[in-house]
Amino acid sequence: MLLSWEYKEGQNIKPIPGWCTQYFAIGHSLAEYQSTERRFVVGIAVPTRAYVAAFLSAGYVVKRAMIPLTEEIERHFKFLEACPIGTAVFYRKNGLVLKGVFEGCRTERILDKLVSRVAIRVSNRSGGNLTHLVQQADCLDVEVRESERVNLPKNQAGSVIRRNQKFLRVFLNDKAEAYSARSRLDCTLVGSVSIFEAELKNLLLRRADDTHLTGSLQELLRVRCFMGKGQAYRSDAVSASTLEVEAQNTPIVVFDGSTGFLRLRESWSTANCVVVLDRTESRFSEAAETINIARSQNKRADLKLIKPTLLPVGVELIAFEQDIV
Amino acid sequence: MSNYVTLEQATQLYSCAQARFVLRTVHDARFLKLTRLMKTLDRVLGERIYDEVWRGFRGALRRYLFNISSAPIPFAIVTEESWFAALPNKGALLMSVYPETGDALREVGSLLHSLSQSHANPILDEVLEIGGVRDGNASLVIKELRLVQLTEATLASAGLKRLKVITPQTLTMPEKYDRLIVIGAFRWFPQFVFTAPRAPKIDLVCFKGIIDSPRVDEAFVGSIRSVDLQPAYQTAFDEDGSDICDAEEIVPCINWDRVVQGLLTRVHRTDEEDEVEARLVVLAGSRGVFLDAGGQVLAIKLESSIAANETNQDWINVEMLEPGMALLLRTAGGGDLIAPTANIILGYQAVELRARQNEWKGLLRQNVVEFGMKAVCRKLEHYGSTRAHSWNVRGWMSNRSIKPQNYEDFLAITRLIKAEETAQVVWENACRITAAHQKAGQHIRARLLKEVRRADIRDLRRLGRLDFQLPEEDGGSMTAFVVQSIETKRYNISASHIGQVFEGDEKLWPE
Repeated sequence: MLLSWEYKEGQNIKPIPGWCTQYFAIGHSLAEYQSTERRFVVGIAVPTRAYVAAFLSAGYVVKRAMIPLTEEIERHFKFLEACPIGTAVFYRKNGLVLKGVFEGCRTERILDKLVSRVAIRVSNRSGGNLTHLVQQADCLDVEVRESERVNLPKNQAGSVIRRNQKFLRVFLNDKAEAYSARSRLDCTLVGSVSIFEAELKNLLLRRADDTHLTGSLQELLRVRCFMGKGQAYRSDAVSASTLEVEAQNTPIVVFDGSTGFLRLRESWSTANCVVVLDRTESRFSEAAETINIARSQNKRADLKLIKPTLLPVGVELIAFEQDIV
Repeated sequence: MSNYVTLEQATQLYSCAQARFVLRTVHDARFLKLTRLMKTLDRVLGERIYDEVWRGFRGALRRYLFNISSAPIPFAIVTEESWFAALPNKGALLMSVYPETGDALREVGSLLHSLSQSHANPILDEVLEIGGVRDGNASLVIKELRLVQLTEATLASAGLKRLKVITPQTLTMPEKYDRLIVIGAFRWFPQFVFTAPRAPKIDLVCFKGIIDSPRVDEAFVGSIRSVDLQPAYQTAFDEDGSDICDAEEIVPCINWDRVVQGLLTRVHRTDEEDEVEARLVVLAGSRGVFLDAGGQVLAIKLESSIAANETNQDWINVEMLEPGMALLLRTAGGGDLIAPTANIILGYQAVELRARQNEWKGLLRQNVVEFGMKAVCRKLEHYGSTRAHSWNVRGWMSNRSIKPQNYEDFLAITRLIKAEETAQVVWENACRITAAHQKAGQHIRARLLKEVRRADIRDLRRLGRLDFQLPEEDGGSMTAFVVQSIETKRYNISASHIGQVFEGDEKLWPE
């Protein structure tokens, strides 16, 4: 998928190296795994951790984008129903992000059909308490804000949804629109957040045959903590030095380095797990041994999702399944 | 934003993944003879090689063998001149205690005497045969940090100033080399030197006479890979049976438990009550330091995933320390820097505040001496303390801590020492001292950060230590030491020994 792409770093423009496309393809392959009772654990020993998690996660998230959001919609609607009235929200509509207040979920009979909708108020009393009724199918356009208080203006222009449609369409075809407008946590990266930010934002990808077609890995991954407020996300990043983490449900967690894996692995005991281990890390053996022990306690056969030919030279990989307890 | 590894740098490292390895065996009759004699002596003495008298001699002999085979230094440059000087007397003594060693011991003596006067440097001779060495297009990798400067001096005198000397720690950085020349046995080095090669060509230069098994272990049992994991050697290993000294036998391995036992018996413990629970941190260059297990330390994170000149320093809990980080320790200027800086912040009130502080701590200590720790803990519980465990009480009466975390515990102390009426005032004083210490910590961190930014952090990675001079007021200096390992065992150490760097006694190595 990245074969016809170049990258620009500083003043240098070069073809995307083969090892990057290989990690992207590994991410793609892993996204094909589906199980509710089991999860996979993948350990990768690499000569340097740089960009491994970034390309692998991008491949994974892009592939996951093809999965319909049906389940997500149902889950999110239930979540909104449980929210107290007055909860601060963001409401994404027509390419804009609006601040809003949740006014409850309503189910009404319209033309003999029961229709559930979410009421979102976007202006204050002097603005006429303008309220949008958002269909259940569109409830992912509503996102709860972290702030508790919200002061709605009389009118609001809203902020523009950041998206690079031309770039996204190459990878996502007709899913590109929903991808940048609706949130779903498809991947959690655990490692140095500042390094993730640098790798994802600084590297410019460019199509070799169309130099105007450019984008970044961040535009593919849409990491929540690097997005502006109210912007839809598809992944998140967590610092490996965090002592305690409030782990969110995520289909996959990618540990970039041994520290985060050894410290925080229990926080995501049901998520699929990729551990990228730099052979030069001081805790490399300890982390590899932890993976070996997990595999030895496992009665299931090794996972054959990834072919050896997919691996870059100098890289070792183990993949196996575990029952989710 | 971090100074991260660029895609270009990472790609260069991937290009080294299929490095070409060349094994270069160095033949030297005297070295070979010495290793054979060592084995003969071992065979003759059997279990007696572990006798106290013999162990010192055997350890020194193996250290010498390791030193001359792990760095390109001449036979005559020995790191233990006193041992060589004492050899004739020592030899006579050993002959009388172990007459069965006979000719073998005599031969060792005369061989060592001859080597100590020889300027031959067979390892360097072999290195000079390698292409690009004279142009500075290669770097030497040696195992021991302590031999870096000696090696550099040797190379400089041979007109090879451009040949860089590095240790495996440097190879954790994302830097590509044209050619690496690894000195010594394969098994002396961390596996990543060979499994994550930093150069497309790697030469391994080792004396004939050292048995080695150059196989890398797979990281994951049953893992898959696109090419074979084992290094592709251009030359085969010599397996004719003449190699007689196992690489593992002479490799340095300090028994830290013995070092600590020796240290503790030498130290006169004056104030048993002022003990703290400590972790032993092993530093690069065969040094160690005890750190308060519950305390904090200034550390520099030297992450392998960030560029060589990147630093990231902060106060971190000792429990969070990891190998590969660097510790900043006060090495000159006396004691802890925080208290004097905090005193400056407290101004003229410092003396009075400290005096009041010492007063209640002294009275608490007096109670412990008089009634014993258990009784004091019970009494404190009776007076309302919820955390009156012996370790906490030791901390409260120690001058290294300022006050208990909770007021109830402090109130219980004042009740015990019959000073309840002043509890509130003394507590507020202690809070002011705590605030001053926090400010002092931030101030020192800022000053150090400035110094660390000025310094070339590559030297820290290369040499395992780096000195920083603090320019202001009380000045002094701090040294950053790279952490090699953290012992899991905990020790009860006098508070005054916390943060004091000590040398790992080489005489105890190898076991």
